[in-house]
Amino acid sequence: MDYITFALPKGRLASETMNMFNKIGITCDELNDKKSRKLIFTNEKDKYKFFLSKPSDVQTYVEYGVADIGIAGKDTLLEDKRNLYEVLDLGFGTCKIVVAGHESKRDFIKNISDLRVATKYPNITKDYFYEKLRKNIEIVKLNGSVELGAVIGLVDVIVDLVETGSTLKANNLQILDEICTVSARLVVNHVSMKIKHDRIIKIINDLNKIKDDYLC
Amino acid sequence: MIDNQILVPDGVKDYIPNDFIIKSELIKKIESTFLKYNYSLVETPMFEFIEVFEGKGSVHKNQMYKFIDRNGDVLTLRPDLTPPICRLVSANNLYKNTPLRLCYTGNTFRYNENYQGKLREFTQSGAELMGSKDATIEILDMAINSLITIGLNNFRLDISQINFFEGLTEESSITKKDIVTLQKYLINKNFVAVSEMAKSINIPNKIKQFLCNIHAFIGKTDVIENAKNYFTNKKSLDALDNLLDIFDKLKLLGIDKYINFDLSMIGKLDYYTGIIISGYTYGTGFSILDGGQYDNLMKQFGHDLSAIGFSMKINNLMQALENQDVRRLS
Repeated sequence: MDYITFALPKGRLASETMNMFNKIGITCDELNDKKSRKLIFTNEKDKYKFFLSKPSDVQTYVEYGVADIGIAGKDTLLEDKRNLYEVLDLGFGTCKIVVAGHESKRDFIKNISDLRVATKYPNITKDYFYEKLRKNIEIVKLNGSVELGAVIGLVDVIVDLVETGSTLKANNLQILDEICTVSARLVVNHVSMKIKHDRIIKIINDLNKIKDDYLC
Repeated sequence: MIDNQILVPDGVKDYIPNDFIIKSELIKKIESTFLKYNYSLVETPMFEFIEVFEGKGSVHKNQMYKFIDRNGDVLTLRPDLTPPICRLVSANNLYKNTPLRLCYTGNTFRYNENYQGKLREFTQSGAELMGSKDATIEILDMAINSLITIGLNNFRLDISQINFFEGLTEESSITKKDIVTLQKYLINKNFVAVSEMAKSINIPNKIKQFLCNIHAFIGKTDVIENAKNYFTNKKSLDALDNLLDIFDKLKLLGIDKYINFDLSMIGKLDYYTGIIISGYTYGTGFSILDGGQYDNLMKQFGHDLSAIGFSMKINNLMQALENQDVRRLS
């Protein structure tokens, strides 16, 4: 039997995912060994392999088929539009993608034509401003602490991921509009979905069954 | 500094002797299989007027390499080989001698980062059968035998029927706008969005259940038998029977083990009109073969002729064969 390989996003999402996987009998002892320097973790008995990657790279590994299954944030899926099966909303890691800025910019968004926007998500931002407001904007790509762009006056507003909103509040920024809600998704490679169909469908069905209990 | 004199642009590559031999042997084996089935080789130009590709359901214009000739006409490097074959059949009056069996090998060009492992120039070998009654079986049989001939044994052809989805939308009487959205979700394989949409729109309960569990309708004949329970419209049921009938005929040929059904596969509705086919194997994350029935396309070129065909993605096959060999050795 071939291995089923999972790409997990480093950090909290990985441990939430493994909690959920353990409940449906997908386990990996090697992953629990915090001292391990390994990059790939194997469960020889059930033929599973796991590796941890930067969250935004998960979908690349899955698209190219070096991982069969991945756990990716909906934000990265929306941004990159990869060729993948998006099969399940895992229900955790829920955040919002919002437009934020100083209160004074609220009307500014709708009325002023040359708006400057900072974001990690240029495609989502472009889609939103074009599809919803029919507006051309200038996008400034930032890679982290996007709020800073608005605070220091680099841009008019920002488009960013918000979980609790406390960073925004602390910097006197308001949510001006919500673009969408995002959460962790189970993605599957195109070919794996066909070739390892029975095992993958079982995983999807098992996760579906426990999902609701898990979240309560 | 990047030295443009030495490097090649994104998405194209050299074939040094070792690679070239592998590629040309592969193409030779595929073409020899086509010739055994009495197909004739043809060749069409590398670039054509853009109008050839502007019909229904062809490649999106942003994915085409375009340029303007001295007369001011827009030309494009061919992104797809099937429309040029239709044009060739129409322009050279070949449609008079049906059934018509044509095959070809050629390079195609697409600006698409997410396509073919990011290659922008890639080679396809394909075959088209026009004006024949038992076309589907012949084409599937030939596709399977071509893949066996080149040394693959662990591969799958997934098939579906366009009419099945058309029947589904008619029975659920959903709006045109919703159909387009649903198609988009299915083409993107976004099953989460499909099931969310199914829950939110007003459609028969059975169809709702079907769409929410669409991932489960990928498999063997039991999947098709099961799907019958969810529909009452004749179009969908006929399409499902058609799939079962094809399976039975391939069983007689002893090649049913390579066939699977995938009812979530809808292809491009405007281009394909019946069966759609996609081939997969280990060692590559992309499909190795794509095809289907496309009666509408011939109509665009002025002749109402039934047509079905497929093309094999040579670069993906090379990658798959290489990776599968490595696995065997290790």
